[in-house]
Amino acid sequence: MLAAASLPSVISIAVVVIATAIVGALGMRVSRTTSDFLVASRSVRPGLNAFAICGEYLSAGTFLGLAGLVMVFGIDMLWYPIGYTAGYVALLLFVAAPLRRFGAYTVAEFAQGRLADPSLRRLAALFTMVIGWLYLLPQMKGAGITLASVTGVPYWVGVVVVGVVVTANVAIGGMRGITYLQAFQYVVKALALSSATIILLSIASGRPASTGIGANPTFSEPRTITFSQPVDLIVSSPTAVRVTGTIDARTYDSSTVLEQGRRTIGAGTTISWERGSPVPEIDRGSATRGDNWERPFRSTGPNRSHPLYLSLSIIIGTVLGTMGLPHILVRFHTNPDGRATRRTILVVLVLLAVYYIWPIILGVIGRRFASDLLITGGTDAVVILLPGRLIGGLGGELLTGVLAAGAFAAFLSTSSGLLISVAGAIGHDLTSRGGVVGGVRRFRQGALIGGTVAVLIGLPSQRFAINVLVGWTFTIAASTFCPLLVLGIWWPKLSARGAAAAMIVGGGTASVAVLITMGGWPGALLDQPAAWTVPLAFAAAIAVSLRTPATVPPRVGSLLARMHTPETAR
Amino acid sequence: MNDKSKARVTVTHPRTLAPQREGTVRPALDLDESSPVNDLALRSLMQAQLRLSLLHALALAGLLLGAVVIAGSLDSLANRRLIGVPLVWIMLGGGLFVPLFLIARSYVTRVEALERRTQALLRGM
Repeated sequence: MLAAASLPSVISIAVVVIATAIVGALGMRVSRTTSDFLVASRSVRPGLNAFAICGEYLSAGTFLGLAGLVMVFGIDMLWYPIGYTAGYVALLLFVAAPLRRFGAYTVAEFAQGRLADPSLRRLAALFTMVIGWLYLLPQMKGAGITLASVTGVPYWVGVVVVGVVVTANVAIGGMRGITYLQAFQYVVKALALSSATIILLSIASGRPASTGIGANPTFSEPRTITFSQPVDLIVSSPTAVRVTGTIDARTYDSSTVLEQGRRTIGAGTTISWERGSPVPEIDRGSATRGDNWERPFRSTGPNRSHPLYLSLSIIIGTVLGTMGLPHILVRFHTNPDGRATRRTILVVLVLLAVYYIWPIILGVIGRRFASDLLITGGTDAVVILLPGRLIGGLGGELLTGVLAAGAFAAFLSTSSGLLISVAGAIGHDLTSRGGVVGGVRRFRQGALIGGTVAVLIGLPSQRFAINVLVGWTFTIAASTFCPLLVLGIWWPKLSARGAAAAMIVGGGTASVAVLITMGGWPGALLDQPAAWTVPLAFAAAIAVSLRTPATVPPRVGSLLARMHTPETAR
Repeated sequence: MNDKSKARVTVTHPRTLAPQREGTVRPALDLDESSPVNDLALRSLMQAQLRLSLLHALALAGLLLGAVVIAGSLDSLANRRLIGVPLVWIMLGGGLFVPLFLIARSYVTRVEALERRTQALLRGM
């Protein structure tokens, strides 16, 4: 069902999708060689590359997910954007320029070239695929819920649209086409978010303020919610409501008062709130209610007894995870030399800083003006829903359209970058058997396989929160590629066996941690196991390397020299 | 022009299993094949680079840890407000990005100076 009211959103999404397809098709005219496809023939200038990196990096996780997280959990979630940015400083200090100077196309190629072992290339390619597909899930989910929110079409439509456009684009244009595309999409995202936030903020600040910037939210208009599943609500003060259904095992069909404390709402129950009533929250076992939302390290509860640890582990997970994202690392190879990669990162830091402020503000506004999402749990869609809540009529629709367009730019650009990495891993690294490998045809086949798998696993992923999915990706990236790269670049004694041990131990423990959370261990939703899996991976690499000096590659000094001397000195 | 001349041709070298080496010029610094002097130059360059990186990593860790400690311990940051926004939100929501950038820029300036000095040294040899 396509509501007529959603026309501006449909048009703006269509414009972004079509523009993406056109830029991608133009990329075909300039992409001819494998080098074009994988690294744009290493000719991208720092400024352009920085825009492209940010276009690629700022995904559904920050466009939609960050606002939703801030809305629910408050200030402690600000460590995410800080960690996402600090990760680039760490990347600059330890990885970027040496990796570029080494001259490998992909992380998998680095593994093989640095440690002289073809099986390492396949292992690294395997994790490139795991990280790529896992990171594609939140993009697919974002596309699904965005299209569903603005048009009412089923969830799967958005997933398929993004999957098809991205696969076609990557298969046709490769990296050279995508550099311009992603730079363009950073601009779309940043303009959409900033303009919408400024408009929404000016409207929101004219509305009657509750206490604080977002503590103790109240309903900004009368609202009726039907609970399809049983849920525990925490009611902050006695609230007059109208209920049809069961509360605390008692059946109602009348006006009543929700008493303070925990209330169990039965499945199929409908509750109507008056304007100005305090908004109850889903019991998440965390005290993000009231003033605690606004203050650091207060999101405590039964499963959250160490909020300080939570914040520190968020920082560790995001910083180290950023160092191991294959689709970002490959972008540094598109710069002409190591010096240019460093310049690129400086620009990236500025572009990230001017971007992250907007989703944070939208999350705060969302807590006040779309607070019913705290009950229904659909906070990932808050950015898309806010204009409709604050501005009625055509103005709201237009602004929704702008935000939906920006969101689609985010899904498309991140997905494209990820699919390039996955396609490269399938088409080149995984299937290499010696001699001449790959070629454009293999890359395209890899893109087709990668895109199909991404859509297939994206369809059943609606139930996972976007930022939880992103968190898992960063955990696995941090536990596998971060130790491989840091030790490979700085430690001459790293052996092939040691590198394999790091990826297997780190990737293994991180994957188990992810699978346990996926199974639904409730208290671990926001946990970042990277805080212990990464040290474990480093320890494994060092211990095994020291025991297997025979698998340290020959001529390691020459390899290190290549990474650490400026190109002009060669 | 006939059809054949219009066809696009790949003119680059085919990809091989080994990572691509750029150019045929050997690195000026090469531990395995060059003189003890070069050996020493590379070691000292790598050590100096690592020292710079670790120093800035220390600053980065200090900044992040410091922010965690300050956010957690200074109640006045949460109580005092600037245009309605608690100071701690301003610090974490935007304020940290400035020192992050400064750390990065300081590293880039220093490491580039270091590499220029090394290059000058090599040319002098």
